[in-house]
Amino acid sequence: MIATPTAPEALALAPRPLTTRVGTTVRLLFANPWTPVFTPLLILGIILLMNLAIWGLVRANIPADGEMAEGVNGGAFFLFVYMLVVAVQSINQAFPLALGYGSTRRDFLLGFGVFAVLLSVGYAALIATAAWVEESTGGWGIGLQFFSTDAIWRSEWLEAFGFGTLLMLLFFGIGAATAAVYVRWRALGMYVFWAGLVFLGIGGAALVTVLGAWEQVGAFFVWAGVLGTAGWSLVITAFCAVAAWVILRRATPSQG
Amino acid sequence: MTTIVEARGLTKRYRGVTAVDGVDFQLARNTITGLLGRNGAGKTTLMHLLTGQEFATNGSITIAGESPVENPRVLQHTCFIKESQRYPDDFKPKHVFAAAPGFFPNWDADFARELAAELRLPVDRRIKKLSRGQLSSVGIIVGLASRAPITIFDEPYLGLDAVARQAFYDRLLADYAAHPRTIILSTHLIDEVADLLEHALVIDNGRILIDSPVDALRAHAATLAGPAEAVETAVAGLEVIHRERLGGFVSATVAGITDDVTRSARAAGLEVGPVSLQQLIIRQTGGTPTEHEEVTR
Repeated sequence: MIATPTAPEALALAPRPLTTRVGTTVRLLFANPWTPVFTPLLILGIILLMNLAIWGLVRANIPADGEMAEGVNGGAFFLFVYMLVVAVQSINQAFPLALGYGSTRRDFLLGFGVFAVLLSVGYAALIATAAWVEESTGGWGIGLQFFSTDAIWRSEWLEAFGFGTLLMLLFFGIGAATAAVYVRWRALGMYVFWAGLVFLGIGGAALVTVLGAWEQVGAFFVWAGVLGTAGWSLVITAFCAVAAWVILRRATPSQG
Repeated sequence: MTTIVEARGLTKRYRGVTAVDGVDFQLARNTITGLLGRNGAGKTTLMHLLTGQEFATNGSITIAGESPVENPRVLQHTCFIKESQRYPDDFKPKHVFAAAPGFFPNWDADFARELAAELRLPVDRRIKKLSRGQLSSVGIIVGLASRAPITIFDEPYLGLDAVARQAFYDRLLADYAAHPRTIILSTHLIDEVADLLEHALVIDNGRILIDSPVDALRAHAATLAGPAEAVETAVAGLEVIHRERLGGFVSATVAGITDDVTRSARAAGLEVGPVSLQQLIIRQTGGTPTEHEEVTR
């Protein structure tokens, strides 16, 4: 048998600072920076270059005097769906790993929140800035609308940035809440969740129809405006975040 | 002995299934404990309860006196390597090793590199593309290099060849001697790890069957072999946990053996041999009745 060389010291029970523990989760989620950062930027760059090339060719072959509509293209917005997938994968795959490595559910979720906010702010700033450049250069000199597809992206930088951040956070929230349902209740949870969502959607639409309230619904969006509507999406984002939190606090990844 | 882990009346029930059934035990600080038992005996559930990943139905389990559930004070000292561990799809081993120091303050990156080389782990290949054995290597490297005060390995060797398994045992023992910590090793390969273990916790059907230092277990069991009549005389009044008969020749595995019995058995011309830990545990968890006679042709 092995002799213990030194008498055991007492286990240090002072927890490390919350920032360190949350930072650990953030570091785990960014451990492979390709997935959340480099790959989407690379895809974005390639799509942009291809669009510039194609639109440039089109422009070059059109008589200079011919009136020409601007090329409208929403190629940049795959980023939102991509981040939803990143959120789903982070919760589904990194969560059990972090727990095995001694993280608490709380520290993981806080870290995921920081991760989501960092990425949302970063990508929103990128899109808003690119849209601004696009506007200022007359669509990269060839009238291409790749980023500035809607009026909101062509407004003040800060407004575009705020809108982008809110929209990105919404996608992160939906991804996190959906993945949380899966982690906690697996396939059964998914059936109930999607069935419930369809039911709510159809039920809501039916209710609005029966009440003859579609005009009011339309009026709401007009009243709120694009940025206002995005602001109201915070309610959904917050609901998703709270749902993910409540669901994962009692999740046991072992049952997977 | 300093107690580090303590379970009291610990019970975990899933719909109709009692995975862990009113278990009481204590683990000493800085020892290597083998958590042994058959498939479905409750080993994994027990380890999940210990790391706060499962919630106890009844009773309690504590680390250093505190519940591990959502408790960073004690969880920061744990590292749980499980056989079925999933990693993010896009991860390579190097990403796991890059994230690990955040979780484990004692992380030794050089040690991890050394182990990766020894186990021939391609650290730059996607984990999804690794073989079963290479996947196990990732867990073993994290478990060892983490130097977590409470390190738990759940069947960590799946798919590893004998050479790699031996490397794991050697490294574990050497590193444990240099950096004492509490290690819980759940395994089927009892004989392979028997020399590593200081304490054995045998669980069957959710209950603790054996909770004993390995030395004591070994010292109190022996195999007496010889002519049937002489063996039967020698084991009279003793607990025979297994009996094999080959013609007029009997080999009996006996628990609770004493020096006197050994002496008189030798005097009677019987062969007295040690019992392997694996044999001992198989006999006690195999559902074999004590007086069962196995006729060997």
